[in-house]
Amino acid sequence: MLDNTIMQDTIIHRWGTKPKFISFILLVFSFACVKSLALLPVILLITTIIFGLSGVPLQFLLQRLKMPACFILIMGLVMLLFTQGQVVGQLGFLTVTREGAVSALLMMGRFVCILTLMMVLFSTSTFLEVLAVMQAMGIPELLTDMLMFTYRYLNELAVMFRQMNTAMIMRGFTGQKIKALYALSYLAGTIFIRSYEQSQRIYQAMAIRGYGQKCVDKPYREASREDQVLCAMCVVAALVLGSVQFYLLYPGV
Amino acid sequence: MHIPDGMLPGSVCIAGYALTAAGTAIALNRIKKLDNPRQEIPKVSVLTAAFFVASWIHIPIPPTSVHLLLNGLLGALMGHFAFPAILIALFLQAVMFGHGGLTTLGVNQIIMGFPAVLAALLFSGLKNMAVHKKWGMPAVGLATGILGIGGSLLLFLLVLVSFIPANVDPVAEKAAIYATVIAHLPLVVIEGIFSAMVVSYLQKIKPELLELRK
Repeated sequence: MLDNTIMQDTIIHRWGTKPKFISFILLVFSFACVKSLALLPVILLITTIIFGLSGVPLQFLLQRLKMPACFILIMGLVMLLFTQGQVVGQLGFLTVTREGAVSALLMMGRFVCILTLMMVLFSTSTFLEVLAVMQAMGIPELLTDMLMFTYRYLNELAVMFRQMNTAMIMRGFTGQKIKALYALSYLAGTIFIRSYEQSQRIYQAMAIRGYGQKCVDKPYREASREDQVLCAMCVVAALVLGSVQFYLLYPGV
Repeated sequence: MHIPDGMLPGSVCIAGYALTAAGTAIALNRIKKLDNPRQEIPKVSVLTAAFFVASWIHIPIPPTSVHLLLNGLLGALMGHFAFPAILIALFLQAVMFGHGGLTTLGVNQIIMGFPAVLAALLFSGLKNMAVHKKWGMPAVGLATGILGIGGSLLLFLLVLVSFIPANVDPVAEKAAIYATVIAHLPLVVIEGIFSAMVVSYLQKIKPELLELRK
């Protein structure tokens, strides 16, 4: 689940959730706008500094990068080998162009930086704090409530799914042939029915406990002077990145 | 069909968020008109989690296996709530597993959510006619399943073709598009059949989940 490394005490962990959220969102969007190779080392440096300060284990990051990295690598290879432009190398019938190399490097660099920052954000704040900040920033309460409930019951349903799957296997289900589609569709249908029936009990239990009433306490603390300084640094970095990128793309303006 | 972070230009990501915000606002407006919208939230949330888990089911297609999208089926079961439900599922997939992305959340939402809304409209329009026919509900289930994943596939290809760098070799680009479509065609058929089976099962065991009029 999320916030696995929340118990650590680093400068990023102590950073207030609201200024941290705003800073990271601005940074990732400024990273997404980077189109010049000259800025790639800059965003990698910013990301490395933030990741280093966060104390999140490198293995945790690599584990998270594993799955999406496959798709990004394939797209990177396609760009590297099939982009037209100035040829810089030949590999049999495949040609590597300068433009292809630049596109591939930029795409992979942006991907690593954005994913790292997002992982640091959600690993160094509790999910409830992040939800409260999202609500404070204008995300409708209906949406944040749905998000909270979904996150809360995801683990339970995953356990239910594993139990049902194990029960099927113990009764001789192998799931190797296409005929398994019948049993798998009934498995999915049963998960939906059980979750639907559970949800009816959930609402009644929540209503008894005051669900729907206005919550007085904010689960996150107000920003301190240190939080504001860190936020200002990130905002300035994002604005400078955006401005430099704009200048590099449109130097005459 | 999830586009990861870093692949699309920043302007496209922001445009995706703008469209997603508009779609979500329309959906939430419709939801607020219900008698007690808060009563629906636990049901929708738990069903969203159920769909999240159900998409982990691997369907064997020898020699490999695939996992289904189920956005068409989600649209059929959730109606107005389908669009925000998919947004939540995509958000959780991005932050928990790095599947998809946060900057590309808006674009991914349009790719998955818009066909789900179309599937919801199709299902609600046809279900009350189809319920009286022998193969009516499975046929509607098949149609919603195919519409969901087929629509997502088309939008995914449209986004990739429109926004990948312009100087990619056109022959290679065309070949990649054909290969992607051919590779996904069996998945479209299987998801349609799977959706038909689930709808048929729910009609027998728990018809109120499909909100069928007697």
